[in-house]
Amino acid sequence: MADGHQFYAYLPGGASGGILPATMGDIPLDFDTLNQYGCFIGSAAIVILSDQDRATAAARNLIRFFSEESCGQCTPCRVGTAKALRLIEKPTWDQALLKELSQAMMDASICGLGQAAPNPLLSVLKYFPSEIS
Amino acid sequence: MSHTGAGPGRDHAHRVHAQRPRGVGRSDETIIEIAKRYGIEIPHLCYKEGMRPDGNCRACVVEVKGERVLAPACCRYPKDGMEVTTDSARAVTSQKMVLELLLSDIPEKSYTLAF
Repeated sequence: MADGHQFYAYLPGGASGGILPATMGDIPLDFDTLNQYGCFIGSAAIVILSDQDRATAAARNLIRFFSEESCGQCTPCRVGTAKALRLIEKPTWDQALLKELSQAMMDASICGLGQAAPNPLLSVLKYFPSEIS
Repeated sequence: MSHTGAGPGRDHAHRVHAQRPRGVGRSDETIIEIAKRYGIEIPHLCYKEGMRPDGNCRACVVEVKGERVLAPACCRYPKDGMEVTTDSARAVTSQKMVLELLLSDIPEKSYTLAF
């Protein structure tokens, strides 16, 4: 880590592979090793966050990215990413609603973008609850 | 194709459930068309008989046993032994959410009566 920074969290698989805390930094990076943690290796582009970053800020950035990249063909992805972004821009998150929305996006989107788009916010709910309470 | 009707007063749905019908569909028939023949309604928005189905709105998603994600009933074709559930909690959650998402972007005045 750079001077003055401590390892806080990381994205194991690019934008859609989820976010894990530093305490889980020793999980082998391979296909199928991350599934049980709600993550996947994806593009294997690892992004490291320091204690001066926030997982919520990363999730907002990523959902905004998916919202802009959504082709707009199907409802769960086109509208779902936009609504998810509105919900996570708030200081406190409506967890039940976010989980319900995420389920529909993962189950009903046509392609992998919409199906994986909720991963960052689901990781925050699972591993960084103190940031959103 | 199974259909599990819930709630009192839905005798027909219950009877269908009890029989757990094995549907027969032609290879050029979609799930939504086969379901209709068996009296099973699947909600839909962008699908219209006579027009090419694109599966974009996702209001007609159903659960196919063994598949990772839900399938659009309007443009999926049958396979031998395929088990389709049209009204499981999982399918209905997505069917409802699609409508809720679309409705949430419509100005209230355009779908309610003004008094």
